[in-house]
Amino acid sequence: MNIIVCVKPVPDPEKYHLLKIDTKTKRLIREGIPTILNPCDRTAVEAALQLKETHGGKVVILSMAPLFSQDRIREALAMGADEAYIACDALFAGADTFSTSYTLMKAIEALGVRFDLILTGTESADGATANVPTQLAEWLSYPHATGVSDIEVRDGYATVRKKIEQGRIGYRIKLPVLLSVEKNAYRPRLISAMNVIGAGKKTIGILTAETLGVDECRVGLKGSPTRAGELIQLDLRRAGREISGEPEEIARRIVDIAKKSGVNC
Amino acid sequence: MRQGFLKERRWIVAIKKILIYAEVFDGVLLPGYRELLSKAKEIFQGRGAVFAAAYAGPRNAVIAEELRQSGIHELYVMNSPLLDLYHPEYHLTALEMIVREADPDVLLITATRAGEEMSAALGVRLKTGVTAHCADLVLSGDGELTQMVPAFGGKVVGEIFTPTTRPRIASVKSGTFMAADLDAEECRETEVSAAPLDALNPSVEIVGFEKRATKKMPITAADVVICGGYGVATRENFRILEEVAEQLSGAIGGTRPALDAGWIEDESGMIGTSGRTVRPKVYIGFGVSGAAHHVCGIKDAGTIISVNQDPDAEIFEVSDYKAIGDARAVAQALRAHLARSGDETAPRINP
Repeated sequence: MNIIVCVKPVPDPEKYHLLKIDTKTKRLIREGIPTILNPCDRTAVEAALQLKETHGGKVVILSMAPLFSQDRIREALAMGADEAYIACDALFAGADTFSTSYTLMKAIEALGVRFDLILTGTESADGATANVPTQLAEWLSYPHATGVSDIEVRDGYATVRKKIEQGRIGYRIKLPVLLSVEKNAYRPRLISAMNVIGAGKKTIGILTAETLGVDECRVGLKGSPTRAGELIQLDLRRAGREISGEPEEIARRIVDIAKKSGVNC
Repeated sequence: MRQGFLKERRWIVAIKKILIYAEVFDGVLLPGYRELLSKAKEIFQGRGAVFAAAYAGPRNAVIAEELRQSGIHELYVMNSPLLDLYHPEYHLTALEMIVREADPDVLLITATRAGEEMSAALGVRLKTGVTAHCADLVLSGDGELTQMVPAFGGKVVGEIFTPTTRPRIASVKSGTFMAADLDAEECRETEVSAAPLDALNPSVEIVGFEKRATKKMPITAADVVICGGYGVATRENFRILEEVAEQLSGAIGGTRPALDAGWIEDESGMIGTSGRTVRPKVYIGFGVSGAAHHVCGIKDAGTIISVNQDPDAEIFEVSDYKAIGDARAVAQALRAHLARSGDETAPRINP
């Protein structure tokens, strides 16, 4: 069984408080924020590896990402994936989810392998739209289910459980299918030093616009139906008046404040 | 910079029709519909816009009447028994057919688990832009829809436009906007044929459904929200917060670390951009550090009170009141205080 996992390098979400907007250029200053492999994507890689352990085949990693983030993609190889490819071209820059998913579709087609499963994380930590998985499935004309757990594959079908607000729906889906994997559904394995050395020896394939034969009107900023305007940093600061004293005094004051704010207590 | 940007775009047409997807579960219209309609009316009212609703589900006279009375001018329905429990192929095709029939300039969808999927997929089917999880919708000076989107966990908010394709598709999480009381309008109804559904050869089959047991008050509806963060440290301490929430007839919620620690069950109890947005009269946070995505989820709370041991905790910046202290100790004192005052006031009738 061949599985492709789409991943994304993102600025470390633990460091988002360091983000600033340049007041002149209105651009985001990302200095001092390291790039990591999107946390949700590790879950998808783990799901793929477990399925490979049961069914055989190979796990291929695909990312539309700048060259400098190769090492983050390598982490997925260190976890145990077999191959990795980066779709990377100046033409891909400025892509929204529409043109990103189109580019990923072209990359999957270009690999020339029939993938039974396409797995992704639920969302990226930076944009967090959760658009790309479903949009990629649409470009490929594959069925999809997002936010799934308990993936089982048998006789050309995948059964999964999808979380919705009111509970969990069980789906049985004919392969090939695109699934985005629920955040806590699988626990990503740890990477040993040996794994890292092994992954370091693997080459990462680079896929350019030319090799993919993309329609240039569909990729990058040019192919994006949405356009970004200004970035605004919200000013959510409040007074921060201090309540001091022993815990009992603090508790009494909290109740007073709650009452004044219109709560019956 | 923005001026230049606005000059370079070319409008296709002005916004004349807004279609809102009315998601129904188990025969109940979900609240996101009225929230979106209220917001749409707030920004487009008086501009001659037509407001329309889309329903895709089993035939339901009660829902249809509820929608007709909700303040819309047009109702589009596709009735089919295949559209009961959310099916990624049937529901998507149904909404696609309705949108093609209604031909709106703007399509608003509540970002439920189902709505997220449908809005994203429709973008590719209709070759148009999708803006997910809008924190606000506003009108630019020249009448274009400006979709305000949180990024980097809500640390920044970006303006997103869909300048050249239509409909502009935007998803918004339930609870982002307030539902207003809207007067009914004269409403024209169109039934869209469900024949395309019967012609589908679906790859997906629904094989089961486990309903989630809901017992606790949802955090989005409570006057008081108690929130526990990583600094609460233990499950046992988190229990104290649950008791305090109960004493205050409020609801308990948590941060991402609290979810990861298993103190709260799932995202329905997680406060933040990837969980729920809350707007209680009072929010009391214990051991909450103040990560951007969490702060974004409480920014509309009436009064924000935070208890944290760390005097430099980010949460204090966005709090009305801060108490530097041990979360467990203050929670215990609060529980004891409320238990005592509960005894004293028990015989009294609240005015």
